[in-house]
Amino acid sequence: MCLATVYVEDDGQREEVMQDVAWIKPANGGLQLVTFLGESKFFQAHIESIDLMNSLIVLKRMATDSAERVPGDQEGKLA
Amino acid sequence: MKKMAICGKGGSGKSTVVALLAHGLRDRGQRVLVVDSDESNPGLYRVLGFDKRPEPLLKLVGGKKEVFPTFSEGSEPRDTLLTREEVRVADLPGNYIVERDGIGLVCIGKILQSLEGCACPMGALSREFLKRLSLQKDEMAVVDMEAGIEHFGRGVETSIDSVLIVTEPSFDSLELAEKINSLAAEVGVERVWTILNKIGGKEIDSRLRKELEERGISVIGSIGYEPEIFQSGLEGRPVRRDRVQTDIGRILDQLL
Repeated sequence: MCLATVYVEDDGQREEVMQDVAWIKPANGGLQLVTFLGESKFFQAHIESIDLMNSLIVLKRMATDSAERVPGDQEGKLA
Repeated sequence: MKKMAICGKGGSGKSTVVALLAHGLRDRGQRVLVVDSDESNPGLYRVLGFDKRPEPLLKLVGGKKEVFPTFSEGSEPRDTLLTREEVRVADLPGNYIVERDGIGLVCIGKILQSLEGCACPMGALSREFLKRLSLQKDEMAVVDMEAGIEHFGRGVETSIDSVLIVTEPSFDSLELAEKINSLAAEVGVERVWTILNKIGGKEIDSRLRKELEERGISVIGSIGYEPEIFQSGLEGRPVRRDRVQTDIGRILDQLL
């Protein structure tokens, strides 16, 4: 499966936050993630690792949460 | 039982069985939605007796190339129908479904070009469409799966309640039936059966049933080898079901 499941790591804990992610774009100091159906979420995070063999992407939450929302965002858990 | 997936080895007769079951279910008063989840074989619409294939649902959600540009321009996400929690058959726009006499057909998507990339989005779309598909009273969905077992890896069966494995008289087909039986159980499908297909006589029927029983697989019925079905497949015509009505009837007696 080449659509990715995305996890966010925070304080050593890993939480699944999105499935079927097709696009990722840097935005406002964080990352905008979009599924193949067009659902999007913003995360104040950077990419920790990309595992293409297993379709896994791990994000690491950044300390600040001051990023502004981008039009089209859902209120992501970490937005 | 509302959503059933028809699985099996390539060439075992999945599309033919889908058409036979769809017509049989319709004759028993069900409104049947056939979901073409095979990204390769082009002709299910012909087997079912339609003149054309519906537009693929992949196009409804923007295809492979359009969703991200739309998002990048800063617009709100579109209502692509499949972002809703529930999708009824009646919600599908007219060009995305062909319908006649109680049978409808939708198509997930087809591989169109060399080097266009993998079919993962189609597998994911099949999974999400079937998850969201809300069937009304007297409606059933029959899903024509792609050949083989990759769809299990993509989780397409997660909202399927029955898997029917089409098994033809070959060792490979038996082996694959065993694998599908195990994969379906892993994903939590409670009702898994095999339909024997292209059966040329009682002797081969008995032998296959014995082989499958030894592998722990239930046989729900058997469809005979009929030259008329072979001929309609060869000529790209709708499946002839006259001579296998009794076989299909027996299967439906157990299914319903």
